[in-house]
Amino acid sequence: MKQLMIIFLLLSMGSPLSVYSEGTDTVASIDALRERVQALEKEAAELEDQNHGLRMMLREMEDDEIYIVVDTENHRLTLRRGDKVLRTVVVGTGSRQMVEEETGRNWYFETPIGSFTVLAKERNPVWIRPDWSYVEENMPVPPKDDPDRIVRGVLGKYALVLGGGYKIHGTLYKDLLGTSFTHGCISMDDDDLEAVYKAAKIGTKVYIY
Amino acid sequence: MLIRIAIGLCAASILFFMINPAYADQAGEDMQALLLREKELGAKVERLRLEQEFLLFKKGFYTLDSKYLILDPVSKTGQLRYKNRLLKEFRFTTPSPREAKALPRGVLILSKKLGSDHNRLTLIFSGSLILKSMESGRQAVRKSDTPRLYLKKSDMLSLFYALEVGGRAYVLHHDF
Repeated sequence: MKQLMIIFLLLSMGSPLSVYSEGTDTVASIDALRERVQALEKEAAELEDQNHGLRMMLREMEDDEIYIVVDTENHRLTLRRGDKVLRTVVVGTGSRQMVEEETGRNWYFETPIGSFTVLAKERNPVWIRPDWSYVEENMPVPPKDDPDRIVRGVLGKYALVLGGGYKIHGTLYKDLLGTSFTHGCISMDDDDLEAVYKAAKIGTKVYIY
Repeated sequence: MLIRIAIGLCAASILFFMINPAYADQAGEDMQALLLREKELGAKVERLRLEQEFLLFKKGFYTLDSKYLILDPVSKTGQLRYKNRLLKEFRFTTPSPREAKALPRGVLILSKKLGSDHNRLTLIFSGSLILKSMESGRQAVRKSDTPRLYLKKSDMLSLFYALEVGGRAYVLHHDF
């Protein structure tokens, strides 16, 4: 009887001890998991703060100004504000042809690529014929101040000056719009020119690619 | 005396066995809840990291004098951008849904421009993504398994001349 009781006693003590051991393991793993969750919560909160800061910074760098984009390969000018297209215009761009003078002077008629700014706005612009326009027509090149160089009515009613002799202006050759036919300037129809002229201001950015 | 002790211990152990399942159940529920929370937070952290990667990419380009692309494989649209300006939007197609899923994500570098004629313009990004015009590549024999996107010829023409080797593209993850 005594022996039986001792065995029962040992058995009944063993089980609680093993359960106690399992219990402490569970508590330890829950604690470890809780720590991992807390670390992730902290990391997520930090990332959220950082991303919020970055978004604010990017928003401050945005603006609501109108800008002009010229795609020379597809002969399109787009008037944009933010990510919105306000107007798309068919334009003429540089012919990528070369004219060479007997003396060796030459000119390559390409629309310049890059970032530009509208430097001036002109109404009823006049064209001061450059030397190449005489060379192109096999005419003698007159002196720089020759009044014969001043030509009115060929650039349309308006022009946006980009610098370096390049402008956005009208044209007499409307049938050629949508092709590469100019001497580097960007030309367009009268209605489109008026709209672009009115929308742009001095300082408006022009991106040509 | 010994019998009393034995009876006491038996009673204690029976009581312990009765309480323990409840304790074990509670611990199990806590563990499950924590594991679920850990999983959710892990996914959230990953999303936030990807969002940060994209925001840092944009921030970097707002100050650089270089054009870049943003490609969205879900809407199948792309943007050509310069600093904070959108220059051009375009659409693209993928040969198959499988290929759309295989598109690389994140930052890619334009490593090569191939363009002997206007119908066969090709932009290769980091050897892991190819942009071609629709007119060029579909019928051609595929020489590699590199995922490719097809654009309209006019769009491809614009991108080809707007981007320079070394230029960047960002393929959106769409997890944020």
